[in-house]
Amino acid sequence: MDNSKIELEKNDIKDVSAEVLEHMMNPKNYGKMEDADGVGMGVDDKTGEFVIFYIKVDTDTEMIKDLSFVANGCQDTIVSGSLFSEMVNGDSVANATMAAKLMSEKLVNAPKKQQVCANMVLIAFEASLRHVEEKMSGKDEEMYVLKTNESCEVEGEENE
Amino acid sequence: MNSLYQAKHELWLKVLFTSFALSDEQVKSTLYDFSQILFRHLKWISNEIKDQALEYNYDKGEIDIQKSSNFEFFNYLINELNSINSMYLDTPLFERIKTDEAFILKTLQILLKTTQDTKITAFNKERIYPNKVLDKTQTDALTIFLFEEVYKEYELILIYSYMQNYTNDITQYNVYQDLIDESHYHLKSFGNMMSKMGILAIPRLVHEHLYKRDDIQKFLVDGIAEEEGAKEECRKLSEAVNDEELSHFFNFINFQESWHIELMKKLLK
Repeated sequence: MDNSKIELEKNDIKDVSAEVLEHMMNPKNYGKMEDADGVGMGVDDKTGEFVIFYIKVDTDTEMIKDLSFVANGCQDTIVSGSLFSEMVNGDSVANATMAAKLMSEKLVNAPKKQQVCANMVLIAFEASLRHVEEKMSGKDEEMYVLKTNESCEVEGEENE
Repeated sequence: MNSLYQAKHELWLKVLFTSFALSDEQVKSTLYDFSQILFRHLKWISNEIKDQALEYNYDKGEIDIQKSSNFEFFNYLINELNSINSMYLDTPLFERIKTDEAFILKTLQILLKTTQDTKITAFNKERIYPNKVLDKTQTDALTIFLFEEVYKEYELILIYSYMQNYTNDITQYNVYQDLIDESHYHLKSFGNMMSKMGILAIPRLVHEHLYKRDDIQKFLVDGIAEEEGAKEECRKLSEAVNDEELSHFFNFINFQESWHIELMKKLLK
């Protein structure tokens, strides 16, 4: 797990660095996955924006074999999803969960809108892991859905 | 049929974004016109799929359009046209599509012989708008706006097309057509601006949750809110760029969005 990637999340996307631009032009791990072990959605009911994470897990080693995401959201969401997925892909579920927790803590200092968008990514990732557990316990749902506590609709509070 | 639809969708995007990437105005215009023909093919194929009570979606694979020269683009499109040809069926629709694509292919081969190869700058990430002096804040604001809006216009074209294909109401059909036409113009404008700045990129996949939906009322209410948001972004950008020509353009787009809201309100009634 590369902590420098988490630091980058503190930056304001409105300051478009070369790295942020690369994630905007070529989002990493973006797309659907037909044979995922877990599918999780983080959704903002107020705006309809969502992130869906697809994950494949080796249940013996607890390692993430592959993951991808799709999103209906702003560039903050896309860049956050691209960075996070790149950071945890191939890592253990435990490390990835820790990375999500650390990123969530680091985001406290970020602009409000960016916090909400990045949290939607993290919630979708958490939902995908829960979906893996649900399927292992015999439940057969299309995906696991978690709703965001806060809405992306926070214009005016952003980037002061 | 859906795999053919997906290949055709990708071909439309490849030709469309090649037209944005090139700098020769005459060749750009020719390829843009071809992309519009390919989009009509998509519409006709989706009608056929619906008539056969089959399903289609807007899934697409990864598309690498970051070519370094005009000729690389022309050869790329020639290969793409050749490979899709074997997927077509023997029906009047596909005969029409095949003759259109044969003409496009021939035109590309002629361009290879009659034009000069030119370096492509659409992906160099320099973020310098030609003949404009924009500071870092203005450049960043314009960059984010273009990424947001190119995706949004592409998404709207697909959603409205899907809605149009499944409505039996002539008023709705016509309103969707107006909205699709307007979004094509916006996509073209913003795509060409991205190309000029060296940040051209194919928009990401539109998930079926966005177009396979029963709650049309909610879609329209959310859509109106989004259009209002887009208007505000245009207004803010118009103020931020502090350039007469760009400000005029963003104000012009802003007023077009106002009409979209009226059209969507008409659909709500």
